[in-house]
Amino acid sequence: MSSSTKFLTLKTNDKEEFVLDEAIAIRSQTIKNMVEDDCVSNVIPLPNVDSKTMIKVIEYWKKHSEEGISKDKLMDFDKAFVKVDQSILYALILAANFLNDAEMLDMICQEVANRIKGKTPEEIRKEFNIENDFTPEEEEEIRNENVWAFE
Amino acid sequence: MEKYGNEYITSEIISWLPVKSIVRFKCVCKAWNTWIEHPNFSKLQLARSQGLTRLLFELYPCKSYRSKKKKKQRRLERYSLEFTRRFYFEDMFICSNHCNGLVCLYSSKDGQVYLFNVSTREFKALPVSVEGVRKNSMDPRLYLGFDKGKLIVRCGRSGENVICNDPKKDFTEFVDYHSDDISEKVVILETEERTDRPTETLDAVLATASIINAPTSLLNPELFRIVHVSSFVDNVIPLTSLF
Repeated sequence: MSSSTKFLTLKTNDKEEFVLDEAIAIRSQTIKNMVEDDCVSNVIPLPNVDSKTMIKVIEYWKKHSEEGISKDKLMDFDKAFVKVDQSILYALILAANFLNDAEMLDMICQEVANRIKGKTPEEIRKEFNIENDFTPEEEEEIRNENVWAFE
Repeated sequence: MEKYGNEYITSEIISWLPVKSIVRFKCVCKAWNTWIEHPNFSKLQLARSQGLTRLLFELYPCKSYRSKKKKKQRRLERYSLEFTRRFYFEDMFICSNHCNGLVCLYSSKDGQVYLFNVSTREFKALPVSVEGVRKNSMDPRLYLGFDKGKLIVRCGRSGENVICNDPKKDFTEFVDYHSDDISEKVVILETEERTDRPTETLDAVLATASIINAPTSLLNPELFRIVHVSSFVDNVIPLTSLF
């Protein structure tokens, strides 16, 4: 082990601990800021992330930190990485947002966008658990203004 | 919404959607409608779509266009892809409508017309002279349109001259078509070689209104009536195939 390698311990909200190379962990801007501000004690608590999600995040970080990995291989990895249940994607979005990893957040948001792009407004409401707060007249007006988008 | 935790994340997801989905989702709820119409969202969505094939819209100004002209121009100023009619680019200015990301530029220096890809900022000289359509020393006015995958350039108001090309051939071949002639001349750009071939029926969509790369904020029904969008949505021509 090189003497410059430092390890960080990350603790998820279900009390699991993950020991990770600092160079990999600072893909998270949140962790990076903590390291730079020198406010890292032994264990970094991640109150917004559970262990199941953290395993996925670390899998992603490790793959994207591999030296000399080709772009094609990373694209294949990303494709396979997002082929998971919708609920896992949502957990990953929240984790990526909390950890402030813009690259991962963008990739997963794109995947969700891809999955919902063909849906109707009704399906979106169901999917996102949204209550329709338009009156029927208001909704009709918006639809009439954009008839082409509903074809 | 609880599923996604916060509004920031939801708007991030929406920003990755194609324009057609975004517009459809305006009626999901008031919050979504508000985000989608916010200028910051347009900026984000425009940034996301860089490098992707863009949706193109044919827009006709509404009747109340004149009174809202100032407002419209202000809205356009933020977008580098948009030009005013008298846009100048060094010695060149726009002399046609916008069409599928392309516009014709006329150089007052050498009298040459260029096709300009507004996304990639690339130029290509058109292999025809427009001197004939310059009347009373006025600058030429050209019309761009697409017909079954071919780019049509019409010079002059009476349609004396139409040039079209096959995008599959990477813009290396133009067809020089004369409406009072029964044949068309194919011009190979590299060699300047011209050959005759039988005329196909040119059922050209020659727009008198602009077809522009429309960010979502332009889809304001107060300012524009959008027509023929669905046909363009299905037949978007990748800009990369043109240049």
